[in-house]
Amino acid sequence: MNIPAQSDVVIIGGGPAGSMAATFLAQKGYHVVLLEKQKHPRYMVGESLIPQFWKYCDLAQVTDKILAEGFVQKQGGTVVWDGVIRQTAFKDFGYTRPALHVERDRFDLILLEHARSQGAHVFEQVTVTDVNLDPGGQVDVTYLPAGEQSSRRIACRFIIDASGQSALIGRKLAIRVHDEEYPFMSVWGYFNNSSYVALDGRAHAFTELRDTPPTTFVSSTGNWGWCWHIPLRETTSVGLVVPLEQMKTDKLENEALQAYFLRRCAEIPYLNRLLEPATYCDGSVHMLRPYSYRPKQLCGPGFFLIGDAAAFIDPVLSEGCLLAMFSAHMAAWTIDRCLRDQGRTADYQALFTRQFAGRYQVGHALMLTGYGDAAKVNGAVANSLRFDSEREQELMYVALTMAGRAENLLRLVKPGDRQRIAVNRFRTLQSIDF
Amino acid sequence: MSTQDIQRSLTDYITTEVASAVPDAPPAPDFPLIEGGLVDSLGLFKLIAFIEDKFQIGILPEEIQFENFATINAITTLIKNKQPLRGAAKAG
Repeated sequence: MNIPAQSDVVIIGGGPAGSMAATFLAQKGYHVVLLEKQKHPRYMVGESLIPQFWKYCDLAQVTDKILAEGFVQKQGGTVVWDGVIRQTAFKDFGYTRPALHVERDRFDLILLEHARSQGAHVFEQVTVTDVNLDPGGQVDVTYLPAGEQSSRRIACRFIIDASGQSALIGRKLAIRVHDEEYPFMSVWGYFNNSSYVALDGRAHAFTELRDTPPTTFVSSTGNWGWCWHIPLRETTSVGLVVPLEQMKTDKLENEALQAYFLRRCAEIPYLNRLLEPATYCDGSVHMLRPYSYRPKQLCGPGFFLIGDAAAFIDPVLSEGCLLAMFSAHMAAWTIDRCLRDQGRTADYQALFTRQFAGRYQVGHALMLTGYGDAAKVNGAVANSLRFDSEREQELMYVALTMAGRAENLLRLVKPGDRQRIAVNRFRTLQSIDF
Repeated sequence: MSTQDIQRSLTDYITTEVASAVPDAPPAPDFPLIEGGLVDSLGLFKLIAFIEDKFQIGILPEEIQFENFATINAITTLIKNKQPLRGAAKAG
């Protein structure tokens, strides 16, 4: 493994955030080293992508490779929230390209290979063990390749931490805080042969998936908890987002995680019907707790945090990959500007912080549940919302309406804009036909 | 640089480099760039880099407001109200 001793930028982590940042920087002509701990393809959750992600793929010139993979194309969403069934179609917002349900091992591999093809120096099975963020001096990254005894270093101008939930720099600098307004955890697993809901409001057998595209199915489960049902090419991803307090009560029953997951799935209306013909994939249960966190700082001398390494919020809007790609683009832009005019580094880093913080604070404010303090929503952060197209704002409004929190968005936009955005492009169903 | 020159170079750049779909006609100076879908959050930063390099000015983080980028007229005003960066030598 011939890892250079010096680079313009070192990126820690080869998920969507790291790979996209590597691609954008390589395309601008910078020397980029990306270090990934695992060997792709590797498992990852977070399979639902909304259509906005294509604009980042277009910019990265990876669209054709993603289309060629043949991922499941979904047509919209079916949401059962507090007993009301609503359905929405992406095409009603004028989207001409599909949203996707992706197996993340494949999706992430395509993005990583693309970064390599664009000239980024990608090394897998290399664990970053430390970073040196000496202010004023050159920063460097200490790493250990798998199977080797001694660690080595790369010196660079900037480090991008895209290490996901590992949050390498966030933990080292103790700038990562758990979000007490989201006291949730998540449990999920996979099923074979699950039925799914299509845009006709009916349940379809899994074998029809190729001919009749699915929707993403979401249902509330009480106390702002919810579940997802995401049909993939071979299996269906099913997950529960559970309030921590409920989990504490449930835990008293001393049930194994897998048994708990299957019992809860069988209790949720409609989800249980979709899973009737399905078989659970043994051993596929996963858990994540505690759930959401935010950074006190998004960048500093010589470093940027992007994607999940920076912040993680409730995924009910399928915005995780989008936020990863947004922050990757923003970091690449900022580093390019800093390297062109070093005298303005402080300005550009402030700009990165303002843009990225604005974006995830909007996401955070939109996600507020009965647990959050709505009074804390700051009108100033809504500035970043205004740069979204009308179509994007309308889709967000509908998605939030369906998840019982449309008020969160209306609180953020200017009164004059409310009527424009609040277009209810969904239909209400009396039932889902089985 | 005159107001017209600034407007012309902004119009050219937005039409050829920023708009996701090439518009039928170049946007008028008061055309709503963001609401009209010509400039999105990605195009905005491409445009900012262009403006800084072309006119040798620095856009400050707090100046990235909807109002400053809503139309070609608004961007022109933003540019005209700024002093060139000290020591700026290279042309963009």
